[in-house]
Amino acid sequence: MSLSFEAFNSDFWYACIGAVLFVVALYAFIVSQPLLKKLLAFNIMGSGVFLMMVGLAQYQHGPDSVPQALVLTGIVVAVAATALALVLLRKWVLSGGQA
Amino acid sequence: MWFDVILGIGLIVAAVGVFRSDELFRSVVFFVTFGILLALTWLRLQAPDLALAEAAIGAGLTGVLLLDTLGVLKRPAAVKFNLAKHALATIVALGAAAGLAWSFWTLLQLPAPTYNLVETLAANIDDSGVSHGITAVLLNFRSYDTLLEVAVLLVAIVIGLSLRQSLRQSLRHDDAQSDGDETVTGATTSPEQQAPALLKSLVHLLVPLLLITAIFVLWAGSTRPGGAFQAGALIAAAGVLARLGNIDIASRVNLLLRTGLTIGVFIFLLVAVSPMLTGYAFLAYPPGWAGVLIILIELMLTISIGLILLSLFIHAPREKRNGGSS
Repeated sequence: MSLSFEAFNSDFWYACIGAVLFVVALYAFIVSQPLLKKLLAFNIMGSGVFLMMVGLAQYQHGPDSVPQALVLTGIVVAVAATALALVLLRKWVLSGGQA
Repeated sequence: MWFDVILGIGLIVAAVGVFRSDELFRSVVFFVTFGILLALTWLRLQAPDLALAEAAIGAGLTGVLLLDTLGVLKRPAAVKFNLAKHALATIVALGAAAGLAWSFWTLLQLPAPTYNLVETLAANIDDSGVSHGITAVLLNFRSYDTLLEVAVLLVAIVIGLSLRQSLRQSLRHDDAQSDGDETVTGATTSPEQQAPALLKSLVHLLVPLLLITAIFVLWAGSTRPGGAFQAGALIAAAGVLARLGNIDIASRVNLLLRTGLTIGVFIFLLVAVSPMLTGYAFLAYPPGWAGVLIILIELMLTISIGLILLSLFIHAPREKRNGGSS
């Protein structure tokens, strides 16, 4: 095995954490019954993806502005999508739906 | 290194806490904790811009939105155990885990890639008009992404506002006192006195401070961590805080609000298209003007992003008895 374990630094560690978060949140997204919980799980899936994006891009070259800028865009879009989902959720509940 | 290990495990524990809590309130509290831990993680990954954004948006603003929604929700029905769903979830999650593990394993064995974005960026940053890498990427090298992003935000708020209006119309049927004026300003004046005195004075102190911080963060963006998104989030936070103190600024001005919501995209598009008149490419800044134009776009984006995030909170559908006062 010619594994370069010296490449395993904290950036790669956080990318692994991101992968674990993604998988756990994916499971919870399918299993959860309350819609709000599904939304939280979806958000955490996104956070896992962000961690992987930045961690994997940086573990060889050090801090890299390009993936960081893309993730910054992603965070803002994620919060807008979450807020919109909450608006839809409230509308659904107020018109008699089961959350 | 030990700090990284503990922080990583803490992230997973907080996420599992979100999923395993039976009460939604507890889930939301765990989610906010998760956001704060994630902000710390971005610092450890040497991404202070992301830490700022995550702390203001991920932990702060999303938390407020979620807690506010909890008030509307009724008690969830008793959870029924669904074997087929759990089986499906297990298969999907195991598949995703296997795929990710395989790609990480392969990645560790690959040689370092030949391209190096860090060096490319460092070599070109002098042409960008700003000296902070992330701002240069967001508003010069990859400004097309940012333009589309604010367009996405605009779409989100347009949907949010249209849902509000259709709700208002249905309310108008049985609620004669909301007299067609969609701002419903008359009802907001009375609860303003009802806010607790401590909250009110705290809000009076904090809101100007938050706005000044937002302007600083915006200005700092061209040389240091900071920029339009973080500043916009701070403005939205100030607005939410003011709303919680029953100072309702945003829903009083309707035309101005709409102008504010669109001005970011509008100015950005204007700056993007106008060089084409003199023969430059789409989104290419004229030489020597990049720095000024970037600050202009960022200022307008800050206003728009702040107002959009704030409006998604303020104009969220509410129950009828609260509907009059919102």
